[in-house]
Amino acid sequence: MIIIAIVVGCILGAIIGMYAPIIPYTYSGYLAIGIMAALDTVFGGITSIIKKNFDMKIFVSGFFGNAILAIVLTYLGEKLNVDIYLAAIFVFVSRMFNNLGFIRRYYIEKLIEKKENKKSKKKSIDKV
Amino acid sequence: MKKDKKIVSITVLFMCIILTCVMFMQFKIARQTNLTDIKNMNEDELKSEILLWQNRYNEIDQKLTNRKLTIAEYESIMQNNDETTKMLDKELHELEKLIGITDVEGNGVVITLEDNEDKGVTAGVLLNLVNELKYAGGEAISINGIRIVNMTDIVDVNYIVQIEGHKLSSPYIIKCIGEQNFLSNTLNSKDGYIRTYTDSGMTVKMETQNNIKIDRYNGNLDIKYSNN
Repeated sequence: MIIIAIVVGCILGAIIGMYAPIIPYTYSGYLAIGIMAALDTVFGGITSIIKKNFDMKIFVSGFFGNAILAIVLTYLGEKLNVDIYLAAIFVFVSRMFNNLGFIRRYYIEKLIEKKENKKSKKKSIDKV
Repeated sequence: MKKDKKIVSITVLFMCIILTCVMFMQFKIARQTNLTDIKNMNEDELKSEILLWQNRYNEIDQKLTNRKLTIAEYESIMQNNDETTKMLDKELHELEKLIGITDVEGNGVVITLEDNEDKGVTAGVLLNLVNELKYAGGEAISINGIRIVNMTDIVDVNYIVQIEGHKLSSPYIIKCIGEQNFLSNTLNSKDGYIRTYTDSGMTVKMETQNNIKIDRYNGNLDIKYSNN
């Protein structure tokens, strides 16, 4: 059910985004930072699902909170004439890499385990 | 549990919608702004760029006004120059007419001298005539089409009249531009040229003509030895 929700949500979002009015270029920087924050949260969520400590409330609040915080920080940085968005991007991307690495390792380990299980099963059948 | 799952699915659905929507909007902006450089800059950059161009415009405008001023100056100088050049040009034309290096046209007299069996026309006769015409105020003189200027020589070489190396023969047609009455009166006077030479047995004819054309002097007017 969740997978269906993800697929439908992505398709609907793509359609809405394609026909949405264009945002002025000035605000596109904020939008990009928001997207990075949201993606970071998504990968963090997947990691937490694997770690089995996923909490929906934390996930949702992180999704929106991180995005808004990143946007606010970027705005503040612009006012202070400091490129804070670079730091935000750095943090988000490094975290994303960490999470992705964790996910990758988990699934590869799972795959290897499966293969070994199959082999051991075959061996046991041969023995019998 | 089922209710929980439903809520989770719905929140995930909404989050996915929001995320992909925003992402696609961003894709669209990125694609469109790649088309032009101006859209690629943010407002501050554009402002600074505008300021820069404004400064440049002002500088160039200043230069333009300066240039215009100098041009106006030059023009005024040129106008003054124009007047002087006009005056000089006029003077030059006058002088050219005076020394005989331009074609001229005007009223005057035409004198025809012919050799007779017993008496031929000599250089002296022609020189006398030229002198007489000059005395009578002749402005331009030509003999058989050769313009007489102040350096022109008229000599006899082996009984043949030569003007600047050109051999002449009878009839000698002398054209002179000047005040017609004065010229004809001088030549026709009692002891004048015509009487003197007809008496000595030559044929001298004179008639007044309007719009006589006298060609320019064709020779060289180089001055080698006289210095100012």
